[in-house]
Amino acid sequence: MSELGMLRESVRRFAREVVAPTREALNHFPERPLPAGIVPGLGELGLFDAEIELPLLGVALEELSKVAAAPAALVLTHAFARALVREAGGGRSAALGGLNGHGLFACPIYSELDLSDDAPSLRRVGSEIELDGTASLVVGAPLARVLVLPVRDAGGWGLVGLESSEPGVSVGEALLTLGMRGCPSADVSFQRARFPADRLLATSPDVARRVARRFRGAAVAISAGVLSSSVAAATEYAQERYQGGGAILEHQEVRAILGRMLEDLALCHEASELLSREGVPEWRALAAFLRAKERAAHATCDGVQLLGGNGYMEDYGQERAMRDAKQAQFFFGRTDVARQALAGAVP
Amino acid sequence: MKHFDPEAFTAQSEQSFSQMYPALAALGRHRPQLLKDYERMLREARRFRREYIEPHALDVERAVMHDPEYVAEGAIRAASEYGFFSTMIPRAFGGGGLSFGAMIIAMEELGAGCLGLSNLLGVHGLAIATVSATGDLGAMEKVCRLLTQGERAGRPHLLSTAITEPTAGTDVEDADLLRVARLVSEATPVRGGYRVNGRKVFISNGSIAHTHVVILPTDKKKPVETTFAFLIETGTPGFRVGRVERKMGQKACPAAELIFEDCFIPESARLNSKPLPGRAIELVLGATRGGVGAWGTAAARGAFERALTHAKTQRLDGRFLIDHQWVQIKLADMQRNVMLARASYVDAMLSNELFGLSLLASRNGMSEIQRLLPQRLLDSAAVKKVMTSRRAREGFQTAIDELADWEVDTASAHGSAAKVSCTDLGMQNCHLALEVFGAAGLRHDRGIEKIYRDAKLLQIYEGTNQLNRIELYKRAVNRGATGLDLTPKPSVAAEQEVQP
Ligand SMILES: Cc1cc2nc3c(=O)[nH]c(=O)nc-3n(C[C@H](O)[C@H](O)[C@H](O)COP(=O)(O)OP(=O)(O)OC[C@H]3O[C@@H](n4cnc5c(N)ncnc54)[C@H](O)[C@@H]3O)c2cc1C
Repeated sequence: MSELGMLRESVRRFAREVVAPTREALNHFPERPLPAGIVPGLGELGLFDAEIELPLLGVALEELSKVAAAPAALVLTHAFARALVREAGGGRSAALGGLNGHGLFACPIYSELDLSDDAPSLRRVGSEIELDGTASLVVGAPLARVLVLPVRDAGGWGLVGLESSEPGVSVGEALLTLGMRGCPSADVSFQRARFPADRLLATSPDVARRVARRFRGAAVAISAGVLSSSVAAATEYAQERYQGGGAILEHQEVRAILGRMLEDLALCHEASELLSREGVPEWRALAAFLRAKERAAHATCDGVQLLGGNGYMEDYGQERAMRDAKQAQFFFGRTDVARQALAGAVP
Repeated sequence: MKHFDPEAFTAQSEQSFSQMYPALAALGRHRPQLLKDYERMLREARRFRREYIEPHALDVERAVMHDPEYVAEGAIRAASEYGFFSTMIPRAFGGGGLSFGAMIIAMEELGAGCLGLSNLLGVHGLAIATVSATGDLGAMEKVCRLLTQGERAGRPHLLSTAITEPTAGTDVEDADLLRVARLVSEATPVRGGYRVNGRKVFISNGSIAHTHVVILPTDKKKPVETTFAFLIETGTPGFRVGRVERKMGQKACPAAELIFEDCFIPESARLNSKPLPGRAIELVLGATRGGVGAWGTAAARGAFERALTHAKTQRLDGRFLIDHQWVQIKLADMQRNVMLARASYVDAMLSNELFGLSLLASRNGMSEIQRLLPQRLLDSAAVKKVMTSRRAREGFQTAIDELADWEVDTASAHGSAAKVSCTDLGMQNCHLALEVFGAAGLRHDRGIEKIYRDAKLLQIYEGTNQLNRIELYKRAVNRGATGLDLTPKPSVAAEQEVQP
């Protein structure tokens, strides 16, 4: 079996045997504690390793997301934040990133990372930097060793990498979010806190842009996984649910909705495939990325609809898919903001 | 470029009644009392929203997430201080005497604050509408008295309406589909009354209501001919509440399973009417689907208002969001959706007043009498006797029978059109608003993701948006369609299934 096939199999097994039984608890985070086995299990699969190749990561994330997207979001965020640190380069970067396989990385992955409007401000004071303000919704923060945060540097942009244990770093309570519950996030705040200057890893937002570009495929894999589970559940339900004198799958309107969901799933898979290829023009890659995430978010709403009242209940998983896919649409920021960047590209 | 000036900005929530409802304001020139009722209701609802709903909505939701059995007692008490549980009860029965339309206007306002809390009040109104549509004014007076007395004591007597069964949701929303429904519940006639067996599911307020308006056939093999409404009290032996659902949203309003096991109810529990499938149910749904339209509008508006506030205070790329053209266009689109949705449910509301359930209440001069007589007289035994007399009941039934088909169809068509349009626009605005918010919108504490979760329900209940399209086809496209092809065979091409 190929490396990819082996990884797919082991992730599937882990998702089925370890993640699936804890889904309810995950879904109720932070009202209920995080199930203990998930994070170590992801580590054992090698999903937090620095060496993991992006296509492999994508496959793992899709398989995980078919069962629960929250652990996948945690893995993606870690890999992405770590790649940001590596991309920034420099000595400090090596120190933070060097401890392979140990300690999670966190970052505000749902924000436009190259913009820093609501980020903490940075001031240079002699050989130190001073941070003030709050980084909102830092994904992974309650569990992380390393926090990777955009900051506002006198109107410009900066990227800092800090250990969460450093004095002056204050990680807030785990936040309740629309989707991906069970992937803990928190606000990280600073009150004019001083750090050694090497914590400032980069000052050009191009770093964030470059890394986000590379990770699009892995992010779309999550949308694809969530939607594929929603389509499968809706199909099964439509075959079994009797209404209007037959299985609802016999009603043409139900078929039309399910058909559209499959069109959207195909679109997600095409995007995944396109994004795993080298040399794809930037405009095509970005277009596929935006479209797939957006369509998955809409299609999972239909997944709820096809189950009627049951779709609205936690028991059937469709409502979770709807919330997770909407949240996944925000990986690397808003669709409409990114779309602004798409316009102007010459095909 | 001119930058955002907070001083020069007039927010939507400050809009006057006539800005929000120009059609109703125009109508009010001819019926000033109606206009006064509507305006008063908007004022009251706005005050309740500001004083209670906005400050508590998120906390109530967190409380239910923490403890699924949590009941929003505080909200129930506060709403009863405002009289919201009895607003649309006739004055002769001790209520506020306002029209269904006035209640609908309140639903938009309250729903823009919290759809879940608004639903808690609104489904109670659905039950009153259902009871009133049977024309059993004796039962109506009994329920209404319980209700208004309880409300005055700060403990409103809550109602639920139970139609949906585990095996029949869409099928019990339409008389044609009902013929092929697989029902599990029945009120079997026995000496002195009925023995009820079966289950109802997803019943809003089911776990907190004191009286349940349960829709049941006396012979489940002939549901169209034998379905009636029954009043069943909580605590009746053989009746219990089953599971309380864990829902995606609208958490302030519980949805529960009602279980009946050899539950005996007396003859008097059955509301005295003709079988409900057909006219009576169509009239109720024509009215209440407009109400769901108001909630769709509320979702659209709640999303819009929150996006607007966010856009005025947060920056993107160095500028306030509201100084970005794409955000301005989105806000305009959201406002446009609110306007469109509102126009749609106002049409439904007015067609209900002109041709539907609300017309019946006024046709025999009831509403005029109630408006003119002082409360003291309305409470007298003589008026009660007249109101609950056989003649009054028969008069009501005659009024139902005398409605022309096109009148009922018109009210139903507008109800279904509003239900689908408004709830779709509500969801659309949630998507738009979340884009304006960006990552911040994913947080519960910002209040916008809650609307996204809450609004989805509106496309499902009171007949799914698919069923309501079927209704619309029958009422407004092909009025000759008596039953749709119920077991359509998929085309040959479609039968070649493709597995994902
Ligand atoms: C939170 C909540 C509160 C509720 N409150 C109440 C309440 O207070 N009282 C009450 O009685 N009920 C209540 N309901 C039930 C609600 O009215 C039903 O869920 C709704 O009517 C749909 O029925 P169903 O869930 O059985 O879905 P189904 O009827 O099984 O529908 C499943 C899917 O099939 C589609 N479908 C079904 N039949 C057809 C057809 N013939 N042609 C095309 N498509 C079709 C539907 O559109 C849907 O997409 C509530 C539901 C929820 C979720």
